[in-house]
Amino acid sequence: MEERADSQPSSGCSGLDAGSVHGSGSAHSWAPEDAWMGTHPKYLEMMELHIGDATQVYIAFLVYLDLMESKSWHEVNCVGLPELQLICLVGTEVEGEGLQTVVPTSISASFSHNRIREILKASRKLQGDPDLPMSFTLAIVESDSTIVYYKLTDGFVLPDPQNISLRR
Amino acid sequence: MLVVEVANGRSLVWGAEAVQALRERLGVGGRTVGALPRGPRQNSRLGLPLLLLPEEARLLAEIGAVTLVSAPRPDPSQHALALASYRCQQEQSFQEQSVLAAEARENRRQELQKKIAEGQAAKKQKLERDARAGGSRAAEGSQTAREKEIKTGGGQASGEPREAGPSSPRVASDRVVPLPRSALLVQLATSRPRPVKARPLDWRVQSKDWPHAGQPVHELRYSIYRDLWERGFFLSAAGKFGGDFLVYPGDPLRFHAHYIAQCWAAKDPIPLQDLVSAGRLGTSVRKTLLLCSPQPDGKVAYTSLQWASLG
Repeated sequence: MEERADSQPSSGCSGLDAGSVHGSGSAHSWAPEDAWMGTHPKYLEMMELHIGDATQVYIAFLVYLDLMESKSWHEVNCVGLPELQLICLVGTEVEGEGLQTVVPTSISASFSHNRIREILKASRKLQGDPDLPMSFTLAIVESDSTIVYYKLTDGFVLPDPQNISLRR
Repeated sequence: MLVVEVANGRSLVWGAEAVQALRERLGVGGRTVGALPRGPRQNSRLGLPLLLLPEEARLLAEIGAVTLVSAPRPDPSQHALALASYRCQQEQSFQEQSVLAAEARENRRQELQKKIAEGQAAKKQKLERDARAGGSRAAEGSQTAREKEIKTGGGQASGEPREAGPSSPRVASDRVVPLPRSALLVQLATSRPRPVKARPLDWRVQSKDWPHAGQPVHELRYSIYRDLWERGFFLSAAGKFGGDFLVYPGDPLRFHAHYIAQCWAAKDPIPLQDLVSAGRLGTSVRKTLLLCSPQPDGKVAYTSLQWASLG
């Protein structure tokens, strides 16, 4: 991830705008495809899904990298959901554990509750275990490529137990 | 039937028994908003009245637990009359208290009669002794001493009438110390002296006192409030945490809230920035953010949102 900044110090790439900066002016604008990531097999695979614009693919790829490189997930695959126009990542954190669905998105996006419910249903199909409560993880990407993860689950999920320390 | 007074969209419960019944029997808490007479400059503990959320008031009315009434408004034409009657009452009370005070004073004086007499005798003796001693000093010829003596004499003279007339002290004490106005005890009414006829309020119809009827936000919040309440949760307002309701598994005095409920119409876009801030806050206070949306079939969809570290 750091390599991007090293190899393209003057690109001024905000990442999220990557898909929309083409063709303005005479100089060739920088695009994710021009960097090493443009030739990454996973990136190419995501492009092949033909969902959304380059920005969405770029965001999904950032999340993929974060899961694989930073969170050291065992395996992550990308799946397109054409009816929702979403690129999903389905993977396992530790070998042998259940599948999790991660939905990459930009911080500037909005989701209606209806859409969240549809993603929950789609996620259950992807995970293939109808006994588990429907859930997926939203990966929200900021323009500086920082990512926060929020888990959304159908119904009521109790918060972590309240560790009240008995200080005297 | 419990009565809830509604004025300008605010629903208030004034009876302590009613507040207790709502809390213990119906799981509706509301918030006390009245200043305590002995602690008017703090808000950590407040007293009656109890302010109900519009959703709480409507639920109670819908299930027939309470009657909503428009709070009686003072009639401006009656205002002067009411004021006059209040003043008249106070004047009457002042007269009664004056008589009682005078009586009490006289009784006290009678009780202390012996002590007073002893005290007066002792004082007299002392003065006589002083006068004798002063006289001898005066003979030694000091001008200042003589002046002092004169002053002392003057003081003695002013005390003279009281000493001289022990047969007429009652008249004197009555005249000298009447009950001052500032010592008047004022009764604070804790209920209406006469019951006022209150008009029942229909929560289905929009009115000045009930502006909530038909408001989309109210309808949205109400359907979710009612569903959560029917599931046995205890709800309170969640302004502190930026949500619509705080959802408790039982009485808030005994439990922490588990959820911060946010009400969204199912089709309304939720900005992710809002989700992040609400989710982050919920995590830091150990509560789950609950997205709530009524569905076309009348049910309510709930989605829990929690921060995931994905270690």
